[in-house]
Amino acid sequence: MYEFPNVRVEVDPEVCKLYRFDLLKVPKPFSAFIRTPLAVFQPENVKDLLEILKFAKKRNLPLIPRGAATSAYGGVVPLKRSLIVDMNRMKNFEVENGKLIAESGAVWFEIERKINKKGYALRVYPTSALVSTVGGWIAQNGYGIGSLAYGSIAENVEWLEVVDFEGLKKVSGDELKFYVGAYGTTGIIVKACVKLRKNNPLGVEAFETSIDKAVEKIDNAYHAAYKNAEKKIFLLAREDGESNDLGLKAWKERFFPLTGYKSTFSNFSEVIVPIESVVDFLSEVEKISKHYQVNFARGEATILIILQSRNILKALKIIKIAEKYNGRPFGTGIFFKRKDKDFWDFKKKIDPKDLLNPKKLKGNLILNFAGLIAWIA
Amino acid sequence: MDCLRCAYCNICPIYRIEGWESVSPRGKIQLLDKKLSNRLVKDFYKCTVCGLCEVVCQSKLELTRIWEENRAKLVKSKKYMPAHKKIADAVLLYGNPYAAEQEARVLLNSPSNVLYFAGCMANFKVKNIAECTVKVLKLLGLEFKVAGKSEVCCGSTMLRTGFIDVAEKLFLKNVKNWQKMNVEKIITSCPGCYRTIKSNYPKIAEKKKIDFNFEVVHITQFLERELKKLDLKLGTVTYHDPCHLGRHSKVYEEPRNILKKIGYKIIEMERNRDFSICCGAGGGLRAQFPEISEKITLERILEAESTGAETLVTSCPFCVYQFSKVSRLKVRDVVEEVYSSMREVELKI
Ligand SMILES: Cc1cc2nc3c(=O)[nH]c(=O)nc-3n(C[C@H](O)[C@H](O)[C@H](O)COP(=O)(O)OP(=O)(O)OC[C@H]3O[C@@H](n4cnc5c(N)ncnc54)[C@H](O)[C@@H]3O)c2cc1C
Ligand code: SF4
Repeated sequence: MYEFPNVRVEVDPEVCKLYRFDLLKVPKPFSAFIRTPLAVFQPENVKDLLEILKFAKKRNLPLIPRGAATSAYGGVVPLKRSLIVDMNRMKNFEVENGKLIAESGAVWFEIERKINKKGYALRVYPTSALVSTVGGWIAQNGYGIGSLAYGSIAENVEWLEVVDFEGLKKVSGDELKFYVGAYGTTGIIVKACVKLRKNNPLGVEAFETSIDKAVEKIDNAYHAAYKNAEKKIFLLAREDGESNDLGLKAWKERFFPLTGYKSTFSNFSEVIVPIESVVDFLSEVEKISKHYQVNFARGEATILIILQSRNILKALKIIKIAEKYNGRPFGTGIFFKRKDKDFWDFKKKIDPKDLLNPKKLKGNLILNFAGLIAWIA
Repeated sequence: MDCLRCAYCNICPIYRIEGWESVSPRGKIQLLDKKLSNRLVKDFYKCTVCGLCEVVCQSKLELTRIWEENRAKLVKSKKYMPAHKKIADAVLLYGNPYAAEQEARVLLNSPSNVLYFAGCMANFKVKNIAECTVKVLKLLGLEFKVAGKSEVCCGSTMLRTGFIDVAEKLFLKNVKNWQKMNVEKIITSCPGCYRTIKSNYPKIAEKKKIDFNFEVVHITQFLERELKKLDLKLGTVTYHDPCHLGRHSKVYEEPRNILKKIGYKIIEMERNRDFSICCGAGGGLRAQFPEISEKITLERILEAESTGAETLVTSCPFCVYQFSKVSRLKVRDVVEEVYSSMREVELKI
């Protein structure tokens, strides 16, 4: 029996089993690679985190940081028997000198509600803001509401506090790239300093229009999104702009990107495509699915394509089409490879035994899957 | 559509307090139809059946129905919570969950076919609500009656905790009594009674092949129609939406309109209407898990206090009882406010 650190912990295997998943519907052949965690820790401060890290190092046990597990890239899915580090008990935040200083378990929309009263607003936040966490979104380097004006979260993080096997560190500048979008493979984000905007009122308008017309109208907006569901709705949010009824409705529904489609769906694919290719990309994709949502960012757009089939090959085909237009998958996580060499050099130095969220960002599962198909064939 | 595991339902106030996925709606959904350990059964009951999860569910799952049906399955296999069983035994034996003398219930004889159904909480624990309701209805000139000791618990708590058989027995007793009393229309104080009689009783009646032709209104629906504008210069209040009246029955504006009619300014809490959180008392949570229940209550009270309003008003005897235990703010039922305002106008005349 393990001697666990003196931290809130759950070891009941039935409860631990519930920590094997996130939003990703793991295709059947892949589920064989998923392991049940050994324990779930809920640290309440840095001391707890350091104790967990010390314990993991001593026992050679992998650690997986976890926010709200809303990601669709399997970042929190254990591919080895691991210790889950659930950050939901570290959720304090404050505004200091016009910047947000938030613990990683803080929930985006809870922050927005509170800081709005103080005259500040988040520059960017994911549409999953009702539940997703600061640490989770940064670790995934997401795009979201406001990305048209302010870019991805990476462009809005000023510094991070992280813990790894060496202890607590403050990271800023160029070094941030080793943590933002790293899915917790290089350390656990404890705290983040994030840039804010003044809470200037937003005007929100929406129209029924085509995607090519929508693309022409996004200049100088705070946020723009296009949803092809029951109707084709283009939402445009501008600081100090006008609002209309459809706009107010669409703005309220911005947190529900997965609802409103004509039929039920089983799967989706998500890509980032340069702005100039959005229309061509979508006209090709429409042969596979007519249901999608486009969120515009600076010079590019993130596109979520809803699929009626769980067939992973269809999702992969969409990524191939995106690559043809100089696009890329939205995330990496369990499926895709992070390709920058200096990242992997850094990872090797910081975590030589690959204990921090192991087997992620390596494209492992795809390799395993390809192997499985080859074996079956 | 299946659960997407999007975690939106994890805005559940109980999950926010307890923190383990086994308590979260998302976790519970993964466990449906599986054999549950005692620990998981206990966690499954950590829920006020408030329906907040259903409001945000990306898959539009009927989560409240799912929780209630699965609790009924658990009870069938004898996996119930001891505190819920105690309530079930008490309502069958005494006609109310508090093992109180039924004689204490309000009685008013009248040939009218309108019945005021005060419910257990207003009859036994926050009697002022039942008394004010009777006085207000009289001031409005309504002819009505109250059943006294022949009224038994409506069975709301039993339906929410999975004791369907017990709820059906209570249904039979009440319906037979109403038929004997020639009741046609029922006014309730308690949103739990309202939802039960309005939504659950017709289904039980159908199952038991019994005629069910009663019109049911909540007191706030009745008062919104019948009360004249009083326009008193009263202070500020914040209004808490009870789950059974708000989310489950979509009665959001009526109580607010009454408060405005009598002269209050309403300052809304951050989470209002369909996003309101439970007072902490619902779904048998207070009986079985008082410590969690109190934490939710405190969270809501703090939210109410932060509005700066002078009074916390709601329209549910359960919520009033629950809040009154910890609130520094004055806590009142809408009907209590209506009664004191009508008195004030009467005195001025
Ligand atoms: C309805 C819906 C809408 C969404 N909308 C958007 C959107 O608009 N934009 C977008 O980018 N994504 C979106 N997502 C995906 C997802 O919600 C976001 O990426 C989200 O921010 C992830 O946060 P989380 O707390 O759920 O992280 P998790 O899913 O728990 O974790 C994600 C990754 O980060 C790691 N991690 C978590 N916490 C830490 C930490 N403290 N330190 C280090 N690593 C950590 C995990 O190990 C995992 O690899 C959406 C998802 C849903 C269900
Ligand atoms: S909100 Fe609905 S779809 Fe999302 S996890 Fe909860 S039950 Fe599943």
